[in-house]
Amino acid sequence: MPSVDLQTLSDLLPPGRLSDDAASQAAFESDGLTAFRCRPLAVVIPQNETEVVQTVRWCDQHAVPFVARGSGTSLSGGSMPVAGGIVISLNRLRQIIKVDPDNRIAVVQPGVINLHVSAAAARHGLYYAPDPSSQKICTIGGNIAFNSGGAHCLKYGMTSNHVIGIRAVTASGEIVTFGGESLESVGPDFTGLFCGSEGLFGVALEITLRLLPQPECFHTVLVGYRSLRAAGDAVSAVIDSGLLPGAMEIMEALAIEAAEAATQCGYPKGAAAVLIVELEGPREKIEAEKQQLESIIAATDAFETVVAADDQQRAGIWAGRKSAFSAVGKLSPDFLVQDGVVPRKRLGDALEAIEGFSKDSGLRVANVFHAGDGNLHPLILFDDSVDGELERAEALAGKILDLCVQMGGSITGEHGVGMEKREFLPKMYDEPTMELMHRLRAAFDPQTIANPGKMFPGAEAPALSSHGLHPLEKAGVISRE
Amino acid sequence: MSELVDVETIAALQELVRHSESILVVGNRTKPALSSVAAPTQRVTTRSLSGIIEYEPSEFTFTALAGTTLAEIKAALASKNQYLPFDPFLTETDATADDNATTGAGATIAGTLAAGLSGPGRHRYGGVRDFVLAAQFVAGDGNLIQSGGKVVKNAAGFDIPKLLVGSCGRLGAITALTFKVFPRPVEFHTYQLQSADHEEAARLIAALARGRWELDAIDYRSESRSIWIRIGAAKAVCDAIATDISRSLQTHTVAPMTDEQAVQSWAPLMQLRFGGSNRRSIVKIPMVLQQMQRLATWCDDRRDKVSLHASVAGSIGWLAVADDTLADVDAFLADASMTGLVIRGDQQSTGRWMLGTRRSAPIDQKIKDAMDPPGRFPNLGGE
Repeated sequence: MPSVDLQTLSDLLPPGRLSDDAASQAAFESDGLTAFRCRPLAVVIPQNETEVVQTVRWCDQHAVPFVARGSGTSLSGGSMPVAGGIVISLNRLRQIIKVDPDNRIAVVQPGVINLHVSAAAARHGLYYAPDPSSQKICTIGGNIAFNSGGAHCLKYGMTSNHVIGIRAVTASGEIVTFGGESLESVGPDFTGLFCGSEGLFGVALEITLRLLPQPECFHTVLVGYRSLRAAGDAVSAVIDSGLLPGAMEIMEALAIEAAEAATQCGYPKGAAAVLIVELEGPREKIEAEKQQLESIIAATDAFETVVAADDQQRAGIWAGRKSAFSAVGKLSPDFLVQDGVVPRKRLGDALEAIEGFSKDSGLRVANVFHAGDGNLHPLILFDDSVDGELERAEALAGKILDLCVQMGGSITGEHGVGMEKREFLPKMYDEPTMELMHRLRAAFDPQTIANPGKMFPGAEAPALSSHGLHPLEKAGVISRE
Repeated sequence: MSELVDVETIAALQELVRHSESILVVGNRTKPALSSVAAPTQRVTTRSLSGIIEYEPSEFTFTALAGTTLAEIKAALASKNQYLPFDPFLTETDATADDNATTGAGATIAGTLAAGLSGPGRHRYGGVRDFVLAAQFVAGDGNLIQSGGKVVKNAAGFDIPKLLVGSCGRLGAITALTFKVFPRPVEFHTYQLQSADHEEAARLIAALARGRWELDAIDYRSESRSIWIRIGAAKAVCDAIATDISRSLQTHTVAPMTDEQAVQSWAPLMQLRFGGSNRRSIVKIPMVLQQMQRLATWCDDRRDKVSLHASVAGSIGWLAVADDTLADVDAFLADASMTGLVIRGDQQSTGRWMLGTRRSAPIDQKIKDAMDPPGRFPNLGGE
């Protein structure tokens, strides 16, 4: 890459916005895919939209790559810096511009924390449904880039289902507006295209979100099983019954053990698997549905069933689930998380195959997954200080992704392709489809400067090196799921 | 205008795309305004590319060829107590169709997606954009594209299936689609309440939409100032919820419709024939509640020419319009900075199917060029 004069960028911005010292570079060198790091050329921390646009246009003029970044919680390395590029940190664009309760929308800047949207909407009885596990710290801009999910996707969909308008600056510096404040629009759904584009199109500046009424009642049931297959069969029974739970989650023994140690969540002792099923809705409906759920569960091979009696007990059940990954992570110096999806009916086959891969590689794998939508989160434990373990872990992860594709599923349900799975995208899509995606990218970014090295395989990638767990992860502040 | 060609295979469609200078794909032509183009264009129907290829009730997904009718899909899903929650229009065969452009057969799944049409049930779980998972289509260069994934959760690659929603055949020729479906509530029941005026209606709709009741549909017939509420559950549960809504609103009674009344109320809307014989043109207008009030007031002064049905808690206006009034609608929408899409209407009156404020962003054409490098599909502007 030709040398660039950062002073020309610095001159465009107020003092203090641009940093290129080693400490700043180091602070942004990694994201949620903690095994890898790469130092950027410089970091820009804009205070407003104009400064973002100025920075992007400077990058366009000088053909300098950039990565827009929120809280850096991407689990696929999607917000990893590009060597020789600029990190545009959007955390200070954190204004909730408005909450309109009558039309049930919120207009926010990209650096707004996911959970803060629900907090702002709560006084109107509304909330923002997408709930990635990192929702306490992840930002709406990042959620849009990676079309983030969470435990409630089967019923409520992913981030893109809740984004109705986006104003953005494309990589070539054009300000574009897609969608608006109405749930509906006329013409192609450009908003839907922008969601999940992994930062390859440009930077979202202002986002209009759809809000939902807060569910009035929750009915949360925790069920213990002696085998993983029995838990899987229970999920099928719930689906076949016509119920539509808000969430259905399964954890297996290793994850249960670790979660219990971390949170004392009171999960059934000796369970090979636990199933969490949560119904939510108005009390009149839940009253009828909970009886139906009770009879379904009673007909399965459950050995223990716990119904949350109050909000505190419900929170305890979810605390175990939400802590599972960080808790399991403490069992090992390093771990990789995968995010593949298989058709729900193939869950049992997929888990058996993963067990076989685990034995073959000599690495332990713990499974936690969104059972309602077939989204697996196998956690591969390894020690990077042991020669060859990272490579074995990556090979195992690759086998799991291949398995998901072979079963007719996806290489990613909610984490995105990022840097981590870019070599696998052509396994899902044939050559004409990949070429079309490249053309779409070029429509927004003809110079390939927006988040290069992500999503698509090829030579754009930065050199990588492994460095173990993220400090926040070690502290239990963030988790990977 | 060239003859309508009926393709029976995907390969034949690819050949036609590759060898046409200008081509537009239609289904059963239930939304004829969307396929009217000025330039000489080869028209192709995919109505013979029909059939459900895969249906996995346990996965909540199905895949159907482009020309599969909604009626066939609805019947297949109903046999497994499932449904498309976005409540698509024009499912039934339209016996009243007297336009030579239409076949009288109901809408196809690809036409519904390409037109971006969602019915009243959009309120509860989202629209057609929220349920499409995968799209197979022929791009402008003739290549067959497989976009999206056939599982209910997929974040790999660009979400091209969503881009095709509302694209009206201008970005690709759809050959097959995969959708997510949901279990169908055991019953649906409809209730109504009366508002004094549009302002009160907007206030009531807002209260209903953010309430705890999780209503299936909230629609407003502006001529009668009547709000319709649909709830999906057993009758006793629906009645209990309706009673609680009355209690909560205090000043308004939520009255049940009989099953017959409900059918008579919803059916004309679902066929987009609620304007009667003198208001046959249909315009879709995205809006918010404040815009709904303004539009409804404008319609009050032209009752014999326009009729507004506001759907999805005031998010979509369906305007039934006399053909000679489309130009007035165009002017009103432009003045109000709103946009309309003519679904059915006399093209001569405006000469285009986009009314009011229209987009003119360079990025739109760049995206069109990416999807259709040779420029074989008509432009996005609706002219």
